[in-house]
Amino acid sequence: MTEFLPVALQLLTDPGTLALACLATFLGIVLGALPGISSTMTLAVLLPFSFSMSPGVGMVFLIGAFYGSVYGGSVSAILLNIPGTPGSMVTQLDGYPLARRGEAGKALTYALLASTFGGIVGLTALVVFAPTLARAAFAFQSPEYAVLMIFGLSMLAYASPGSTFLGILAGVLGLLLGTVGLDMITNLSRFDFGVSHLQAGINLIPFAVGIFGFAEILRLLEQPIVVEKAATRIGSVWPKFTEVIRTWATAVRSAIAGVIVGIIPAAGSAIAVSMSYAQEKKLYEKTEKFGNGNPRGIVAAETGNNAAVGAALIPLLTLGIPGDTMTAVLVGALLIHGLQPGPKLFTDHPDFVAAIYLALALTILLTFLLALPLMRIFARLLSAPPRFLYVGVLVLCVTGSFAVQNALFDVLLMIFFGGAGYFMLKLGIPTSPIMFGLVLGPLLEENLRRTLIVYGDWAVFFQRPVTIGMLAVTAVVLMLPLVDIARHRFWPSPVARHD
Amino acid sequence: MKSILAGIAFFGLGFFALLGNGLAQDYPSRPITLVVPWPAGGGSDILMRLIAETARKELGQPVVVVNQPGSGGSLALREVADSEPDGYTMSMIATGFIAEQYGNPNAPTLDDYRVIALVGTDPAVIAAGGKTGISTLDELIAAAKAQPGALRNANDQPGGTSYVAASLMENVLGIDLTLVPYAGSAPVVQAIVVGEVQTATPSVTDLIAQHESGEVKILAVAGAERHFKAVDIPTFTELGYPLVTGTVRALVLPADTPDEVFDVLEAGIMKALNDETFRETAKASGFSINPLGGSEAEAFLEQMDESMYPVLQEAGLVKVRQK
Amino acid sequence: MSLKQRGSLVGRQDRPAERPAVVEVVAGTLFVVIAVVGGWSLLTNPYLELGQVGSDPGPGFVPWLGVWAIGLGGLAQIAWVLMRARAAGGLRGRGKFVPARLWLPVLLIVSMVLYHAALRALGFIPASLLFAVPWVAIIHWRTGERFTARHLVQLPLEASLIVAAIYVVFHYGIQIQFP
Repeated sequence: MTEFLPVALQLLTDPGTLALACLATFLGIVLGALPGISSTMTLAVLLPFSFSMSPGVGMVFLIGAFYGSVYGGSVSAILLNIPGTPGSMVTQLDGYPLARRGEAGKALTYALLASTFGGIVGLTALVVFAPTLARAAFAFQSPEYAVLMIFGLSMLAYASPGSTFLGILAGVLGLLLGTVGLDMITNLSRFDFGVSHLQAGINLIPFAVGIFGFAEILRLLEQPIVVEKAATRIGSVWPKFTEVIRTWATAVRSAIAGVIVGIIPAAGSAIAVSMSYAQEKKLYEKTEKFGNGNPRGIVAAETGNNAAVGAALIPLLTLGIPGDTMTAVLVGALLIHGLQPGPKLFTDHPDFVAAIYLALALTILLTFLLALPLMRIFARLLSAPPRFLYVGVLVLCVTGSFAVQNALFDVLLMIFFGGAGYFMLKLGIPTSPIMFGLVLGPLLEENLRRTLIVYGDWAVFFQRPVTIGMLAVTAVVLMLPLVDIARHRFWPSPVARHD
Repeated sequence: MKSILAGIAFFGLGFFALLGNGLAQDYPSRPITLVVPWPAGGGSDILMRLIAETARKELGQPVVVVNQPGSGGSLALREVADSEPDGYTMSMIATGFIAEQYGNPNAPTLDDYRVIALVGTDPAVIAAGGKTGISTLDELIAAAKAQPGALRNANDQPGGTSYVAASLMENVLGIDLTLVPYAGSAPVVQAIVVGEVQTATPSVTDLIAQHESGEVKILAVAGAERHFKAVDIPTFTELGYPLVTGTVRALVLPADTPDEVFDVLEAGIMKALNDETFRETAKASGFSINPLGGSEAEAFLEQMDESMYPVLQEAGLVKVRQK
Repeated sequence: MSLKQRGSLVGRQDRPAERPAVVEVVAGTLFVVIAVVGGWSLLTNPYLELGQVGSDPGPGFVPWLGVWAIGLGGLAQIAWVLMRARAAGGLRGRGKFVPARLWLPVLLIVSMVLYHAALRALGFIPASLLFAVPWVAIIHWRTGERFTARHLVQLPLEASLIVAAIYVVFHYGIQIQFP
């Protein structure tokens, strides 16, 4: 492949292409940071602009937008408590509390450093292992997916802050919310209560915007708002180098977890971040608290998320199977240019594959360079007068929810879940497990039932090596809280989150 | 403050009233909305965005693609059917629409629309996994007849394009497959490559890369002629089983749209669909473009409705509306 | 704020005789209520039975499992809290659901619903202005600052700026067609 590097390098050193890559990355970060605009949407919106570009330039443009928007999603998770993508839903557990304490700059820096590191590891995995690792995906069929979802859900139940028991119930509630609407297997409608819009199911974005973003504003309005005059200065507190270095082991472990999960098509970043976060929480449970602004939590989530991004390109390029909805849009872009992702892409268009690698490397660098100044602006935004900030966020919640599917009904859903989330928090019910259930539940149900259709009975789960292994790990994870009962930690009395 | 507020509100209202002021004579005088009832970034969405780009030149107004996914597309399609018939809101329908008519109480029917144009039909294929050793359609039929129901087929949700294609193939080949639904084409490809299912019925572009590398064997194409991306693969008709099915895409307007508006739009869209560069780009992406204008397209869809109905009935998908 | 919260959580656990809060019972009840509503919806769904084909447990399988899980879980939560309450000698209210704290959040929820209705009726810009101008003023008041003559112009201007900026980004930036 080395002989193609010059061609690819020539492409990337072209000033026009570089400018375009900068623009795409910038657009990706900014659009991704807006609540309600997911990475998938950013890509779909920018896709038509790439039609007229040459294949190489088009891919540089799209990969820039794609990768930028992943970091942007974390920005809104940290600053507004609204996860832009399922991958950033764990970032907010520690990122938002840190930002509330006036250390938004610190949170954003940790996220940026961690995501850059994760991105590099993911890219390395892509370059080095792509042809060999791709076959690992073949170990995954419906039974494995079903068990993987159960595994992910139990990891997330463990990762979520607050009462474990109420957290599990909330997770099951999320799973139920995921079954609302038409069933994938039989096309029959469930829980629609006669409302035709509910047949379409509950879209993740309006739900997340409501239950995290809107509910947070409601909570802040309970008491008179105190404007801290020093907020501006605190907002620009940046982490010390030594503090950052302390989290290196976390970053390495999370990156490995991210790559492993990323390679499995369709497992997605949600599982990657849940694994890396739960793993760190377990390792440091004696010495550190998670869920209240621990930088280690941000590092674990962001490294895992971004490592998975690079790795998700492996099944796409080698097998032609997109790992998530974002890479699915990339497939569309490749096809437009007459390139068929799949086993023969490497042999027929090695120059193009080299260009993709270099484009991803360039984008990681650009995201880092562009995010540094942007971050300061984002962090400053939090010290705007509350009336400006709150009303801005409220109008954004409405527009963002509407924009996902151009549906006013989604705005109503957002308001409903905002109100419901606010009251649930007051009752001591953690709300993040609901989102975990909503993300993974539909995948669990679909794969579970398909397994039964294909293999006939439940015994199959205990006859395949991968499922047995994952079930065993899950059982161990689920036993942990039982051990904790003895230490009075299983059922803590609910505490209002920020009394 | 009140007067300022009223002033701003008044200004805003006036602005919008101005936008809404289009007359039939100078149609189109403002952007036209093209509703795509699928998520952004999917196959249909990409094709529609290409059409929208081209049609902008022909119509002299932007054509804005709006994605309104959900409920098999019925939500958005119902909204378009009920919208103002002024020619500023059109929508795309696909094969799944035919099944939705009978399965979803909220879905609009073909009578609710005027068909502007048929974009084309992306033929469905039947493919067998590499590990099965099946390499011709006859071998597949023999294997399926030896053990009815033992071969599994990956397709989409009941009533979807791929599901309907698989059901039609079962009928015409006289075989019995176990239909396994998957969400979208990517999991279907994975399932057949991995061997979870023995056969699959997606479109040519979904499997051509795997076919060329030998992991999957595409046995036959359900097109009227051979597919330009797979010229060595025979059609069902050539093999003695007359069958044409696949993803049919058409553009529609509400039924009451007046002729003068309809004619302008039909002419513009047809011109766009026959545009050289558009056809080349679409072809490169694997889309088959065989445009048919208004009345021909309408007849085509009605004929499709006729032939699909018995299949849907047999599959238990005729629930809310009888023919 | 949040630091104190996590710290107090552990501290509270070390005093076994503390009375459980009323809200813990309400939390359990909420899950039971959701389970009952969900179960009722499944029971009255005429189509669910149609879905059982072959070895597929059908579209009702996972929903029923979930409904039972949160129903029984909610009951377990109530029982557990009441047992603890008996041991500790009663329940304690926490003063969280008092009008002084709730009125503004509730007002916001109501105005958001009205905002949603106005979006359809008036379109994005007028509806957003009708929502944003009063709320900019309310939050200005909530921060404890005074109103002066200057604010009569400044606050509506700020609201318009917010709405205009968001409109420009969404409409021209990502081509959203607002109602």
